[in-house]
Amino acid sequence: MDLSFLAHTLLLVGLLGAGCASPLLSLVGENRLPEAWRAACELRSDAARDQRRGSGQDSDGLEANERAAIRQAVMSQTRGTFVARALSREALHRRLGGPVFATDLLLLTTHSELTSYPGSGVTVTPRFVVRGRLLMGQTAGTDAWKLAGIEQPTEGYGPSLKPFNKLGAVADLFIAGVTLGMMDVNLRGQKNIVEPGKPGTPGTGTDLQQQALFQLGNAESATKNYERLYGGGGPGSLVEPYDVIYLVHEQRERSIPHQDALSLDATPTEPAQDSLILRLRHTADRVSNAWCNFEYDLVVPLPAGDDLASRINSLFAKGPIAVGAR
Amino acid sequence: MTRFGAGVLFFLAGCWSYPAPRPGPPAPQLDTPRALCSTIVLRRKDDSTYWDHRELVDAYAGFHKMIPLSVEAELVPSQQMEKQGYKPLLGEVLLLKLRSTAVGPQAGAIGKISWRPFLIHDGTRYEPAIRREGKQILPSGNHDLARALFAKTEPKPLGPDAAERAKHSTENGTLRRDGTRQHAYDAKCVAQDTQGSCQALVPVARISPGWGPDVLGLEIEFTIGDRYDHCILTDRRTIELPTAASLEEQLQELFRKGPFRL
Repeated sequence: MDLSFLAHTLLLVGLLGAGCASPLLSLVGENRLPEAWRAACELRSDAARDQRRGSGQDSDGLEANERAAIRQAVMSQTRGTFVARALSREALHRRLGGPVFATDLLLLTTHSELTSYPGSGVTVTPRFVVRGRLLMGQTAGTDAWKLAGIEQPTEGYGPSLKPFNKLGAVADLFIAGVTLGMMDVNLRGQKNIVEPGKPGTPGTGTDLQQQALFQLGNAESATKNYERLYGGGGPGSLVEPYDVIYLVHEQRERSIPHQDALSLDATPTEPAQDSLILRLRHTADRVSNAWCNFEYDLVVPLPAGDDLASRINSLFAKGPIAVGAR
Repeated sequence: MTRFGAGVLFFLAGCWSYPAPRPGPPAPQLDTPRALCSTIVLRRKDDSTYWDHRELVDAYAGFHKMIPLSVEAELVPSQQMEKQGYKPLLGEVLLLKLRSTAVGPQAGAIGKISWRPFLIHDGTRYEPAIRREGKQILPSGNHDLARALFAKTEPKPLGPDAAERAKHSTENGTLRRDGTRQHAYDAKCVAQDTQGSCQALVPVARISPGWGPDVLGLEIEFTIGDRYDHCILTDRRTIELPTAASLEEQLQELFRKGPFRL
């Protein structure tokens, strides 16, 4: 009788405990971050499924204390540095000897190095809040032509009159002859089969604009090439520093949502003072076997200064700033 | 004997009978270039973890110790090459003559070696200025634009013809029928079965932003093993440049001391 009572009590306490304590918090408490990572992704998937069915709330399935615990655990294992250099549009035009961009912007080159992190790598993306306005950039190759307000030259497809080698031309003529010989004499239906070819466009804008924008694109692909030297892992890992060239300009939005990653921030980051906000994105690895990435923001106040470029340069005058655990 | 005593005995018996953890498989012996190469290839997969990357870094350090390269270098005045029939190099392009030799008892493991030099200076990165190996196209003004866009120090303003010059590339040398090139610079150095010996004449110019201290480096591809059974390893090795007023002086100061190790 006594034993039975004791067993039932233990069972009840166990069940209550299991029901109350969050398994995710337990995993974080036991320093089992990879399992916690996977569990968080599962909660997010469940919440998304419930939302689709109309039975759930507009949430990613994490409680506030779970989110804070994971963020703490992720940040405590992350160490790295971030540094940037900025050039205002006026300074850029002065250096180039003429105008290139129609939109007010600054050229920002960034470099981050990670020495410790959970996951397979971390990418660091900057944005700025100045007097309540949000400024951030696409990578330089993406929006450069639009921001300059000019059309990019395009190469035409179809017949080309580029210099050719003689052997190749003879071979082409031979193949063309054979092909024509096999075709219907009246070339019936040809117009439906053969594309007429489209001539390229010379683009708009001055030579300086075109060459400066091409150079920006080249430089961006060059940074990607040398980051990929070691292959695998991707940028933002221990073996690959992460270099990006941005054209930073004002955005309509006031905050940037975490689109395809699980946010570890309690609320959207909207600092009251002028700041640089670094968004860290941890990509999952094969140990966690998770199918979602983690993202969170770090806020760094900007020093006083005349314009944004000089404030950024003065922030990094003494060298890179630390990201993750300090 | 109480129930409690029986429980304790049962627990102790369980502990005694629990098998001792068996030793894991022996760690791979990373004492040959081939073994290090295989480890590196395995550790740099797409789903690598932080700990894979740590092992990768250690394996590279081991490989650097195992196969150091001795490099002799010279800064060649482009006017000297022009007299020999080479096309002129316009603007801020440096002409580097580099010769590498693998040193140490493991040098024989290298089947093929290929490298291209790079420099970090003034917040910018210099890369081989030839854009297409076959056609030997030299950019004639893009490096000036790269300096204006990315240099840390305030550069002199560009001349009015900079953008115009950047439009027209300079063709330099053509491929002969026998495959040799007449009056041609190199974009990279490639050598087979030379135990890491390779020589190239490479023009370098600013391409993109660069970070960190001023360095001269080589991006190297080693092929370890023979043609039928080999492992390919990409590597990056650098040496810091001494302090001097200009990049040319920094390089001359480094090269004056004779061959250096990478």
